[in-house]
Amino acid sequence: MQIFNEIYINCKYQALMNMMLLFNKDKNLFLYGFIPKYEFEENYKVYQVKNQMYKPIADLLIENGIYEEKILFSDNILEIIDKCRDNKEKCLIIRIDLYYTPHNLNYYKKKHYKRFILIHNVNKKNATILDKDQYNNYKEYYQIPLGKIEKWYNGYLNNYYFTGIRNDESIFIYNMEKTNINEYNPKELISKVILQLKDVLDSNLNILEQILNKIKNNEEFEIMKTFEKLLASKKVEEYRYSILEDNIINEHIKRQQQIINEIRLELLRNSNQKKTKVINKFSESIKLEKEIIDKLLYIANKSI
Amino acid sequence: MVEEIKEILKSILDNENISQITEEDNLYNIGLDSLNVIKLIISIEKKYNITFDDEDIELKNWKNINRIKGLINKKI
Repeated sequence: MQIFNEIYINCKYQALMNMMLLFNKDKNLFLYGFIPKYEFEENYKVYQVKNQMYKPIADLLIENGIYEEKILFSDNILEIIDKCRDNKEKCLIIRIDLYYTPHNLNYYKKKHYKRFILIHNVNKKNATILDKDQYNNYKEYYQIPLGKIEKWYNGYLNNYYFTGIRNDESIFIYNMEKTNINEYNPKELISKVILQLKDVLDSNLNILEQILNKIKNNEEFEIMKTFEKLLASKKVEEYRYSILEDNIINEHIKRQQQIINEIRLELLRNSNQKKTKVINKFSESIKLEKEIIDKLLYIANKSI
Repeated sequence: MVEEIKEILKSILDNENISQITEEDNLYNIGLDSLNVIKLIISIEKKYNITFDDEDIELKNWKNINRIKGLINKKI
């Protein structure tokens, strides 16, 4: 199957986008259908980037002839996987614990880490899975024995679900009922999403100002992790908004990524002027963010 | 210098195959990305007691060992 590796959003979205490719549908619906939402996670003192969809994923899928069945957990995952046996119109996305997966050398028998994987091409004994390789590229792993997948999934249950670390759905079954592909205009879709979620854009700007104030006031928070998350989000934004073909937006987002890396480097150095440099650089990034939002709204209003 | 750079890359990318790569191989194809490139830069700065300028840390400058060598030699 064709595999999407151009950018990384998170493991769930990666699995969803590749599921769409598996069914010959348009993966970009997920890319264009959300914008990042910045939130402060008090427990971990870090700013997270969530994906704010303009409509529920299940609704988007139904519009494209795919039906999603969610299951919290199962004590017999093999029974669930068997529902997809010998059926090209069905696949699953499940959570696993990488501690048990030999193809994940960084985690196998070293550390626990939860991840969503896509499972398809199921037969009586084995299945094909889609997961990252050691270079963080997604690839297919063929003829994985079902017993192994069961071990990976049960590992997730024992280490995450039953310990209370996660309590959300761990199994998603996808059934393609219609093969037709809905046509849509990407620029119009992005414009609709921007106008519908304009409040999120404003809220994000406030969050960035909040981060700046925390730095100025020497308030403690996970600053490196926060900037890593912002950087990852900016890479996705660059990819998403490239469809708009606007030079100002493209150049500003690229510049923001460069600034964030300059800030990350400055934070690791022992320098007397560290704080001043970080404040100045981040202030520049916030100014660019305002200009990006203004331009996005201008384009969105013009296209509707 | 090439072997020193490879040792640093090995520790950051946790990849034993680094010793086999050439000076022109694209490091972004073997696990380097915009997140861990900063670890590479700071490790090089500490190793050679140099400080890179902002324009030096653009991602394209860290694409392969040859380019990294060029950056280091500019600063030494």
